[in-house]
Amino acid sequence: MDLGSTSKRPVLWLVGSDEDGLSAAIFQRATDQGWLVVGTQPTEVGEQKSDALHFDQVLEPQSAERAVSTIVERYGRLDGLVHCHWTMVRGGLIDSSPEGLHDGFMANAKEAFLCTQAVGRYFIQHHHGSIVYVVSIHDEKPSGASLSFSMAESAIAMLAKEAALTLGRHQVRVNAIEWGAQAGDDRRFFSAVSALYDDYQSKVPSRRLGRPADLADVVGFLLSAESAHIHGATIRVDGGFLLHYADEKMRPVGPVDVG
Amino acid sequence: MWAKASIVAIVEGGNEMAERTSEQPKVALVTGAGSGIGRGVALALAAKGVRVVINYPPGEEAGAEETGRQVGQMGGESLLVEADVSKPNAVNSMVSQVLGQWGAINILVNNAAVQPNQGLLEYRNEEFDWVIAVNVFGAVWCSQAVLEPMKRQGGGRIIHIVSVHAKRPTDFDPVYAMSKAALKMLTRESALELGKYQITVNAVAPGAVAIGQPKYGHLRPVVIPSYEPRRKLGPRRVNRMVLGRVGTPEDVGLVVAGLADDANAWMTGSVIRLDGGSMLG
Repeated sequence: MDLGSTSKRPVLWLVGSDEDGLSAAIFQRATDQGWLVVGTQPTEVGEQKSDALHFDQVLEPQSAERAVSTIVERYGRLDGLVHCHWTMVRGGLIDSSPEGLHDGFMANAKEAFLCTQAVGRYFIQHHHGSIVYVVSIHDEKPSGASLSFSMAESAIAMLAKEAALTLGRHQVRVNAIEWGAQAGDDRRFFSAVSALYDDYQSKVPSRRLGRPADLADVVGFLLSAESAHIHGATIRVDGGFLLHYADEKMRPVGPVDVG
Repeated sequence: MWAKASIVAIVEGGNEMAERTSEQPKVALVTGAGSGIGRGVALALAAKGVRVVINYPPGEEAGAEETGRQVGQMGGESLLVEADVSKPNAVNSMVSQVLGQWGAINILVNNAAVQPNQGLLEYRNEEFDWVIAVNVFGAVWCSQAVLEPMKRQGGGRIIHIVSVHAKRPTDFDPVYAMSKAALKMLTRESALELGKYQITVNAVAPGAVAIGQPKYGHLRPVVIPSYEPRRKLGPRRVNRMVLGRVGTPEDVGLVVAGLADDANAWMTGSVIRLDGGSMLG
């Protein structure tokens, strides 16, 4: 792309990380839908790599404003934001340092807030835009693994509702997805005080754990015109994991799909 | 001054306090107890015979003294302690002071909160940090500081004052709502973690509570964003309240006192909505 020209494709700022495959899947899905995706390091997405920018973690307003201005200067437009950046600092009330709790919270919640402010101002000017936050199911369900992470995810889910009110009056759509029960989550959210992830695959009614593509499909839907009347919603995408109550009735009789 | 006389009396009784028995009064630390909901909580606990630590932020001693005066009128005991709850060192110092005076902390009520009432796009960086520091981490630091005493005592009650805006957006202060949502998860996560010590953690989520004219920058819960314009709505506002009125600090205090009771031993991780039915409308 020539610098300074306006992209014919809508431009999406994806604030994410590559660690769990979620950002790469979202990148691919959005690209397939015609978006030009920037703002991450999509090492697994082939030809789109050349259009990727990289921004450091946003913890100051200037960083967010600079990211938006860089995108607009380079591509001539900005049409969407997907925030899917999880920073998880393990530890609870007993064993966490003040610094660990504070930094873990801010790395998630403050980043989402500052990104929202920056894109919100731009979207309001253009009466157009879409924001999707990907939060963990631990915005509602405690894990025992990371106090700062759960607090931050819940804060971001509330940010989504607040932003939906403020920005919705300017034709900007805002929604959130609660994502969970992905392969590896038993290690990520391991806890000595919670049995939530013990044999967790059996707690998903289908015994099929979530795949990054499952999340990407819903993100793609929320970015599309098909979801035009979905606004301020929090959609839980966990395969029914959090419905679990009694082990005996949740165990399936069919083959297991490990995802 | 009444408040200082009260402290002197407690100091004089220090040796006796160090030999507490199970029949001695419980001790509750209430943050932001110099006004509004915090005062209502302090008075409700004092009415049940609980010794109340009235925490207040620097510069707001007058409100704390008034709360102490009202506790004294009821025949209760109080201890005024100045501490900015957003500072871990100040919180630890406060807890040490309480333990030195009364030897125990059985109940912690995390009430202190600030609410700048800024819009999403108007919020300044330092305001975001301030709201999170007081509303979220003030509760975290206080909870951490009372853990060891409560564990030694064989249990305790931690109660957070959340808000209906932990669930429903404010449309006038997004970071306040974010902070209250975070407190909701502090309630659930720490309930999970502390249950084995018989420390219960619950929260009350008040709706609109009449606490007087909000003042920017005051360390107290403020529920109504634009008090004057809304008051002009009069009947329309009242009509939103299923029970015909907004709440009072006493309404909140009664529920907190019930949660704090020894008999309420099986409830933990709960967030109780207390809004006169307003969220139904």
